[in-house]
Amino acid sequence: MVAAGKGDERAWKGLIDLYGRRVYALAKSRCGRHDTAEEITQSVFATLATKIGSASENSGAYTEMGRFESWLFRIAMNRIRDEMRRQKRQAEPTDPSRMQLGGMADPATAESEELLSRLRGALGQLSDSDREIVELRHHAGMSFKQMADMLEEPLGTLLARHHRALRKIKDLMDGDTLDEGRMKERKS
Amino acid sequence: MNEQRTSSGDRGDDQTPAELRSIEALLGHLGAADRADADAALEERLLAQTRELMIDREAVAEVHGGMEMLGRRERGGGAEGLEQRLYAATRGQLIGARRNAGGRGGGGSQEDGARVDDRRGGAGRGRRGAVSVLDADRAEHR
Repeated sequence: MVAAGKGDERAWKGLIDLYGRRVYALAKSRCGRHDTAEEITQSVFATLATKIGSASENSGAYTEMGRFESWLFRIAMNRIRDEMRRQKRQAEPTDPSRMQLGGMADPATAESEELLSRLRGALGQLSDSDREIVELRHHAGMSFKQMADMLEEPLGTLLARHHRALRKIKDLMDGDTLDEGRMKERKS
Repeated sequence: MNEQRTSSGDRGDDQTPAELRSIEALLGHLGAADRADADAALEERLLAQTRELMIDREAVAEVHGGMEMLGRRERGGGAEGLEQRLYAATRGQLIGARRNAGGRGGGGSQEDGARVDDRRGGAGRGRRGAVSVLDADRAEHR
C-alpha cells in the first residue's frame, strides 16, 4: 500500500490484479451492464489513486490501515448506489433475469445457464440490503468479518442476514419451479 | 483468469445450513461468471489510468512545492531568479513525466491513457493543464 501510494507501478498492478475484477463483478451484478460496470470500476480505482498515500493533500484520504478491503468496497458500493439512483431517475430498470451470463469458467450447458438466469431473477427480487450482502460475499469475495467491518454490524447479525437472504433466494427459485410445473401441466 | 475470490482466504467463516449450500454454490458460480465477464484488457486499462493519475499528482506536488518556496520569498527570504528557476523546474517535471509515460509499459501507454480518459468522459483536466504548459513551451521556442 505504501509503495502504491508512492506510485510504484508493480504495487498498483498487484492491487489491480487482486481487486479489479471483484469490483467489476459487484458493479455488473447490480447494474447489469458491462460498460457501466467498467466505468464504475475505473472510477473506483481513480479514487484509490488520489486517496492512497496522499493523507496530507486530501480529505478522505486512506487512513484506515489494515482495513483496506472494507474501505475499497465501501467506495465501490457508494459508486454503485449513485449509479443506481441515476438509472432509476433516467430509465427503466434492467430485468435481471434477462442479463447475459458472460463467460463462465465451467462448460456452460443450457441447463446451468437457465439455472443461473433464474438465480439472477431471484437476486433481483431481494431487498437492496439483502442483495448487498449476497453480492459483497459472492461477487466481491469478501469475508463475513470484512463485511461486518464495512457495514458496521455485528458478525452474528450479518451471518443471520446472509442465511435469511439465501433462504429467500431458495424460496423464490422453488416458487419458479412450481410455477413452471403448473404451466406445463396446464399445457398438456 | 483472476479467479481469486478473496484475499483473506477465510471462506470457512460461515456455517451455512445444508439445505442452502446448493444455493450458495450457485451464487459462487454466478460471481465467478461475472468476474470472468470483464474485458480481457480491464487490468491494462486500469493500470494505464493509474499511471496517468500518478503523473498528474507528481506534477501538482511539484508546483505546490514551488508555490511554497515563492511564498517564503515573498516573506523576505528569497533568492534572485527564483521565478525563472521555478518555472523551468515545473516545465522540466512535466516534460519529463510525459516522456517517461511514453517510454514505460512497452510503448503506447500514452495512447492507452488517452483512451481511458476518453472513456471516463473528461476526467483528464490535470492532463490538459500539463499539455498547455508544454504547448506554451513549444510556442516560446518557435
